[in-house]
Amino acid sequence: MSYKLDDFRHQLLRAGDVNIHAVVGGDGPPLVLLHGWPQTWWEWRKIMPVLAERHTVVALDLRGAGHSDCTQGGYDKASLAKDVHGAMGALGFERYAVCGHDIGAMVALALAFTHREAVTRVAILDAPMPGWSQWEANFADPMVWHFAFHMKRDLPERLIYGREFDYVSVFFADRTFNHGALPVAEVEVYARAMAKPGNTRGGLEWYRAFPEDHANALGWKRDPLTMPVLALGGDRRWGPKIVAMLEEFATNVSGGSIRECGHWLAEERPAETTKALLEFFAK
Amino acid sequence: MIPDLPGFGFTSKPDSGFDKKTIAQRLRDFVRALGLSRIALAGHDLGGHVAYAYAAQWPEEVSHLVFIESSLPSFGQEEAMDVSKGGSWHFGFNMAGDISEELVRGREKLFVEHFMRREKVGLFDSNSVSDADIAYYARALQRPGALRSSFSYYRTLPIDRGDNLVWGQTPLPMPVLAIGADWGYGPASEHTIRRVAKDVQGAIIRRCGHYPAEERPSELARVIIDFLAKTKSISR
Repeated sequence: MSYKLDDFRHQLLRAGDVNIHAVVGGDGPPLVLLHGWPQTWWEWRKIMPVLAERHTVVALDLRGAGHSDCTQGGYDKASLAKDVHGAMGALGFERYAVCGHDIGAMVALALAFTHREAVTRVAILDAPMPGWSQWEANFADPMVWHFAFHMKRDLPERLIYGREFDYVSVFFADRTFNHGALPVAEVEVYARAMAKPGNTRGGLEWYRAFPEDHANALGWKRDPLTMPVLALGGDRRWGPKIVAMLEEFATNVSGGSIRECGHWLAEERPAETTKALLEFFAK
Repeated sequence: MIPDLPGFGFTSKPDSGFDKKTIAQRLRDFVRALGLSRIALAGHDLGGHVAYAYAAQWPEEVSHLVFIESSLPSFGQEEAMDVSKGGSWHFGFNMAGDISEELVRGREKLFVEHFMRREKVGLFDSNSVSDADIAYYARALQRPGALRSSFSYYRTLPIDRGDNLVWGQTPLPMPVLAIGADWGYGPASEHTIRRVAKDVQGAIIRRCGHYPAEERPSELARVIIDFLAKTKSISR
């Protein structure tokens, strides 16, 4: 994973008791980007340079992924949010905007609820949220068969071991509309990241914390967020449902679908995703 | 008569037809090829789904039904498939498509051993099925087409759901024995079959997981023999 972007610097940040890997660049009000599964900070590579023209962009590896620590525990979304807040504090940022995709979107929402004073705006990209009224019913959707598989302890690690590319490539392909956006070489970046000792488990731990996340979010949503929330999804995946979903958690929600797009917004439709994010964060 | 069901063991591995309606039709062809027309029928786990599909389609040809540690789509199976309600992950995994075969290939023994000795509904005494037995099942899954066929029994559950709903409107007329294991599905097999049959008896085998034929063979044989001997079926 010696993958680099021009004009961005890599560094480790101390957040509580974990080291968080961050890629930082640009100028302006801070914006932190939170990736999903089975990904790393690299999922933002296509949109970081343009975002960095107006923001100080911080793309993190979540606990359990990339070059961040893979601890034994602490994978519930409130703990991952605490890591993010600690990392932003280590960079000297007390208030910042946040954008999360997939599991990272769950972390972004948890961060907004647990650090309301710090988070100025939240963008949620293409994911179901723990605490959503349809969260449990959604487990019956054949597209999320992996929720149950990942929540099973130990066995998935054994079955995925050595076959990270096979698993990740099928996972991407089944959820992509614009297949030209994710060539084999890019999928290999994620497969290699997953093959790093501990990282397969780290990513699966995010799913194993779902029951705790759901219980926490049911409590949080009783006091909805008041900061602006952007809810964006691919029109072939969560786009049609995502605004109504987020309206269960926040009073000021905008957004909708990006056309001809699956689950991987920042990679499948980088220009449209960048435009929507810049407009939202500039307001 | 103890067949390997289509796709399993040394029975051939067809391209399609893994819905239980079709499997039951093939099983009936097998029974008729043996020169039989009316049988007592016992099924375990997915074999219970097949046995129900047989009994529901040809009720006059089944004298007794024995339903062992099993469930039925539309009549209780959905809860067992839903992890948010305490169900098992493996339904979604087995149904996912080619990736399921890809991840298990070469790891069949790990997979079989996991199920037989798993923490939930697995063997009560993990040594009651030997390593050699597990290796035998693993070898069977290693034959070309075996994993695909085995997973296809799961991938057709949505089709079975519709068939069962239609059949379930007419309760089974023959006597039914539902056998559960206290460390397996417990009373769930009986609860399921009571929704589609009118003459049901239940039995629970103690200190036993989901595999009573291997863990408690004599107890299982005794309850089946007693049921067949003492329960008169309406003759046709």
